[in-house]
Amino acid sequence: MILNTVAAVLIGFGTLCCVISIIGIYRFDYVLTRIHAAAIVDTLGTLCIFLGIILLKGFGWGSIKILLILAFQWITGPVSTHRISRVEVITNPYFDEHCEVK
Amino acid sequence: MKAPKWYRKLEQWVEGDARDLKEPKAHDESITESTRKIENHNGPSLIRASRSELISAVSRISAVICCFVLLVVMMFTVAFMPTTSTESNVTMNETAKRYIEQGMDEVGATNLVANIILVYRGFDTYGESCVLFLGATAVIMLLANDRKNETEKDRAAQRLSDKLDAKIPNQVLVDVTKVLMPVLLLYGAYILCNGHLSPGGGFAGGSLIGGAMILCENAYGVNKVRTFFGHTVYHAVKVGALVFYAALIMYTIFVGSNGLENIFPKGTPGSLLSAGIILPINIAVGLEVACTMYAFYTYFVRGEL
Repeated sequence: MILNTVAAVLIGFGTLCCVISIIGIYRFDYVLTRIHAAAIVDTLGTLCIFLGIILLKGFGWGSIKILLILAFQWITGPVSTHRISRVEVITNPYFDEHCEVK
Repeated sequence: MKAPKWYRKLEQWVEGDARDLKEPKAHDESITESTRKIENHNGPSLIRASRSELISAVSRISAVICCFVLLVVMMFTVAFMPTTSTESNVTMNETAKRYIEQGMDEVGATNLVANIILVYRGFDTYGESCVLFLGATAVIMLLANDRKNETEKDRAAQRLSDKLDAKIPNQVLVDVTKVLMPVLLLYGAYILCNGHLSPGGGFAGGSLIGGAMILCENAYGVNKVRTFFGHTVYHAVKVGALVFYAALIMYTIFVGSNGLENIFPKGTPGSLLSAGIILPINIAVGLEVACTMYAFYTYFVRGEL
């Protein structure tokens, strides 16, 4: 019962992260702020949802596979975010206008 | 019909700052104005404009007519389809039952989906592989760098982009590629070779291998990939895989329709070397898919392999 409640709270929080991130993608206007919002899904959202699923299903071979998926997401998601920001920094000639700190 | 007020308010709120970006900018108009002036400057513009307008009108009307003809043909075909979920329907009782009950004995793979798509419906999957081949060929035709398609300006832009790319360090992606690339290739090969035992098969494994090659191209540059996957290797692998698949599927159809004995052994169900032609077909399809994915990527990015 307690486990189920904790799992439900975790999955709900993960879904909330996804919703916040999607709203952020639409509301922000610049690439770097947008990927800042989009990266929430890759890390915090997947972590909470996968932990909730593991708690619901109990620990076993399935949860090891889920943890592998989580590791893959955590390796690839930030790297893709880094790639997008790198392209923006390289190609935007008016990059300094968007960043107050130089 | 006008959207209700609350919907517009919600849209406004969701759009946020991004709304400002969508408003048309002032200098766009001046650019089109200047291009129009340049176009008008050389040659009799009036005749050309009327002719191009005529051509565009004819093509638009013919496109609409084509769409209508296709629509009519398709609706006509739908009307002749057998109704679903009736007792007398063939698909409801005979085909599916035979696939499930005798698929493993007749073909030998424990993965029934692989049985169906690669042997019973093998000709159809061969058509899908041809679609991949044709797609890659069309992309090459449209985007390849040749003397008609590339100007000195394009080459200069490409050089500038390469220089900028090399100037800023890329260590994060290189380190991650060192970890991920072997895992991706191994997993892709596993899915390819286990297509007749577990879910997966040529399309899934091939796209994994293609993704791994795209990752390698991103991290180490195109010259590194060219050392093992250049122009010659690409064409050899792509055409070879398709021809191999065609030969296998033709042999299977010929043997099956004439009641001859198939030389490919079925083996014991569940072992790696079993299920006759499914394993080689899976490998051929996987190579085809991997080549297509990598070719799409490179031709869209730089116009050459």
